[in-house]
Amino acid sequence: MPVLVKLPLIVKDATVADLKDIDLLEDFVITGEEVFLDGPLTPRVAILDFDGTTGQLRESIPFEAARSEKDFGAYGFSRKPDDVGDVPRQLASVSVFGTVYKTMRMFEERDALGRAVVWSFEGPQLLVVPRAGELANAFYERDSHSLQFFSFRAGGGAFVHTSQSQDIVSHETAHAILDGIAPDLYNSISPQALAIHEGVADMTALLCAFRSRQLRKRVLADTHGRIDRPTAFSSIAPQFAEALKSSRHYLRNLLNTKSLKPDAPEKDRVDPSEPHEVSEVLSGALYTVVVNVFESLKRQYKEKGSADPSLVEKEEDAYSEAKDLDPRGAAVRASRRESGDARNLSDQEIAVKALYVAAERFKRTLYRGLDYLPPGDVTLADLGRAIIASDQASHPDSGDQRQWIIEEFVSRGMAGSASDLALATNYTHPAVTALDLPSFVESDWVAYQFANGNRDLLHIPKDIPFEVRPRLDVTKLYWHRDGEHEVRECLFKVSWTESEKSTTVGGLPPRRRVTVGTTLAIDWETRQIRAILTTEASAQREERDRLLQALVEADILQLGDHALSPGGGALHRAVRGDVLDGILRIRGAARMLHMDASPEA
Amino acid sequence: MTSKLIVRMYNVRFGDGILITVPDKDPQSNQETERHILIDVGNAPLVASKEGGDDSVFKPVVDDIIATLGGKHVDLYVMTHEHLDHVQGLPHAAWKSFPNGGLAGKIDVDFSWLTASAAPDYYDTHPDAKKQKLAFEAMYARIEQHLRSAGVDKLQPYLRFLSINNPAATTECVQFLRTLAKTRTSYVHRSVGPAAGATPVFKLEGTHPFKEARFEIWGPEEDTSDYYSTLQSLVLAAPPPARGAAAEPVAAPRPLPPAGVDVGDFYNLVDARLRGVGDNMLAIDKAANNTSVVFSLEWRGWRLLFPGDAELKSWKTMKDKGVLKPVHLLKVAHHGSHNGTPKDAPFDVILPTAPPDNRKRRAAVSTWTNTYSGIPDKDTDDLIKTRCEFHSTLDDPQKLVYQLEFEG
Repeated sequence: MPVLVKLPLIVKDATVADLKDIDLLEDFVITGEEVFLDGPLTPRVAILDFDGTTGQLRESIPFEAARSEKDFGAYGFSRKPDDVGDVPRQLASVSVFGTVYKTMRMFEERDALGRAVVWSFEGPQLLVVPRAGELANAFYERDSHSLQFFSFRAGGGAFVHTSQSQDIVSHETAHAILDGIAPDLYNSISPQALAIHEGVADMTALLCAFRSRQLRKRVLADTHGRIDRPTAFSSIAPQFAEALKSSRHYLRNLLNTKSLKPDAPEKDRVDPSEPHEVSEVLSGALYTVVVNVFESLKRQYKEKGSADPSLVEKEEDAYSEAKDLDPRGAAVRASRRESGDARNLSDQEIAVKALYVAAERFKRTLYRGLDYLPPGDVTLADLGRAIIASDQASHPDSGDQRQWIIEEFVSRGMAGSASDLALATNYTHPAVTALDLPSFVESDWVAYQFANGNRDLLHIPKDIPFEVRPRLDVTKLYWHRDGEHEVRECLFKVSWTESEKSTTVGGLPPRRRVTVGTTLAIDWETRQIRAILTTEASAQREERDRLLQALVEADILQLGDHALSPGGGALHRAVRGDVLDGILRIRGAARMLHMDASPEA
Repeated sequence: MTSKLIVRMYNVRFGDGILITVPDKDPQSNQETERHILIDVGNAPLVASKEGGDDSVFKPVVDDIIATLGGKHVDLYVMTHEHLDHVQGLPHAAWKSFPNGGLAGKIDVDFSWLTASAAPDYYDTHPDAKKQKLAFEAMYARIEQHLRSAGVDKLQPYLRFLSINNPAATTECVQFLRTLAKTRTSYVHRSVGPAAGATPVFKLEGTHPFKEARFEIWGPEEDTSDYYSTLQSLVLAAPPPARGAAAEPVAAPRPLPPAGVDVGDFYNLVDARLRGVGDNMLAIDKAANNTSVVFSLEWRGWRLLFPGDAELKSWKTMKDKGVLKPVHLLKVAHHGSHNGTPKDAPFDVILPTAPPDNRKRRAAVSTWTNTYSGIPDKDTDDLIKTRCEFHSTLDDPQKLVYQLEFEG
């Protein structure tokens, strides 16, 4: 039986002068776990607080079970002042733990993925190190199953702990979660595939911030209900952003007009081979969509008291923030009041509600799109198609947001035209109609036979070996004109590799391997194909060449044993390439996104 | 009679020791003088490198140098960088083979070039580089302490890196080499190409006695701070030794996993957090290698390149500064490691696929097996062999010296 555990989360930078009147902390309740141990620790997440001097583990924070059914479990942390910093160390550990869960929950909710996230590594537990050492960095690392947050001295000499930034913790947690959903991205050398990792992590950090009610209220009050201004949410972690100048991935600049178009104005043009720059194009596009949804909702609430169904369905509009906060506290009362006719609300309350609803709608669209993403070296257009297809299949009648997504992807050069993003959804195919879905989900052999017999449908080239991935049987919550529905779908992914001509810079072999694949989404009840999407791998060949060249020049790409340290283990600051039969294959390229001297530096 | 420039590559095992004899004609008097350039002389420390660091090689090498000089002076001595496998040979000879000043009169040096950052006051005038240097020295001390505490199995693979980069031992040798030249000691950096900010390129006039032979120094940059990469954060159980104190083994217990965490996963993470030891040791090694004096010698249509142990960062900087040119002799950098020879644009400039003239092109490497892992690197050797004739001290490991001749 799940235990309810209430935790304090640090929701803003303790040193931000202009937000001093907001509480540093906001309560969050973990609702879905059955076991909590001293740590904080659950079977899925463990906080490991290593001492920076001795390397030993510090004392675990004791778990205190709820005293009654009305009460919450808690961690009895000490509020002793920290040895280095303003926030008590144990409080910071509890906050990291809670923020990891807050991020996981956004993905797991019934209206998003509708299932528990799984890690890409073998093993059930994500190990989180809140004080990993002195360095201006933080990262997710698949090989060590960990999130590691470092601390560093800012200009004035004060210690800055990256684990005390909700943005950074949420961003890194998103990397870990995305790695479980789309593991091929981690090994990709396609700049756009790597950019998806960064872009989704940035948008997740934003959504996490939007879920802080007091922060949302305060920022909207300051900006008179606007989020299309540079200061709207960029002031959440200014200390970190300023101090982490060299690590551009935390300098959130979502409000941008960046573009992949070669003829874009120079200030907007990005290097298409540099993943961080490409990710800004994606984040900018997605943020603009959130702004559009928010502004439209605000206007409609004010004018009509409710939203147009073409934007969000009636039931979808229900204000459900309580689930994110303390389900037995003041927030419930506030959100009940705000869930009625919006014309009874003040402009400020309307903006707070509209932002929550916009963020929730966007969350569904983005995270469900990830489920539809085909395997392999995907492009931004692949992501666009996946988002559009999943949204179209699930919300056929409320397409305003889809239209804005299409416009952004096309106007920023991520897709050539609207037709590039168009995809048939909800249609029948005899082979799929005839599928015995329970057997298909359970048996690799049945799945293999199906794929082999339907290569044309799945776009698998003739006579090429392929790999079937585990099938997912998922049930998600949707809203249609007649209300809330649960839709059960089967997600099937199949992948294969292709070799392509490669740059020979730095003595690299003349060919390299890229992964390609197809996602087939099937409606469990109707046996209709909800969508089929296949990777557009050939689109980024030139950009892959340039990224490889940058990795070689930065002395980051190491072939074979050159990626090993003298002691035999893998070097931290190396991306490993292996050459088999004269063809290069790269592993763990996503790690370069958080290297201190990534090629962009 | 035809004059010959002769390059003598000594088999010092894992290290460099090169003597160049240059017939140098004074254009005014038309008189030809035989001049000598001696580069480095050193090998890896014995304690860690066994055969590759066998100090007994120095005596016959120095004897041969003395014999080849035939009573003449070394006109120019070049210390490429501050690593023991490049600096300890002459001090060893002076202290062990020819004690009590016995080397004087046998190897007398007139001019010397030492890499810029070896100047005694260098770090007083270069605060950025000093900051980096101090951080790297502190990291070296912490890693040494950690590895010595972790036991012989952990220490052994790093012993060669630790000993070659040992700041105390290196400082002693460099101090000896600073006082070697009787006429002038110069601390040199790039002499051609664009100025680096406010720092002009190095002026070579007066730093050597050559009349006909022409030199260019292609690297290092005067400000070495760019050669230091970011160190990985390390939480090492053993406390760092006091500055200047020797590393002593200190018990360093492994942390224990908490209840509820898989033991294997826990120790996998603990070990991963220590992977930075390897990264940082390599970063320390690279930083010094990249301060190597890289110079070209032009003589009667030949261009010979001696890059010390320059690694990829240095090659990239030289390429960016536009100083690279095609050469007829490449002394292979860093003993034939995979990152001592660029495999792309810089390499194509110095040894282009199509030779710029009909002169023979050669490469020469001084190296030894089983000393540094991955050195010499076969792929690197194979690449160089596609462009030119290739010579290695390993061609005949018993041979004291092999020489390359350039007719002029």
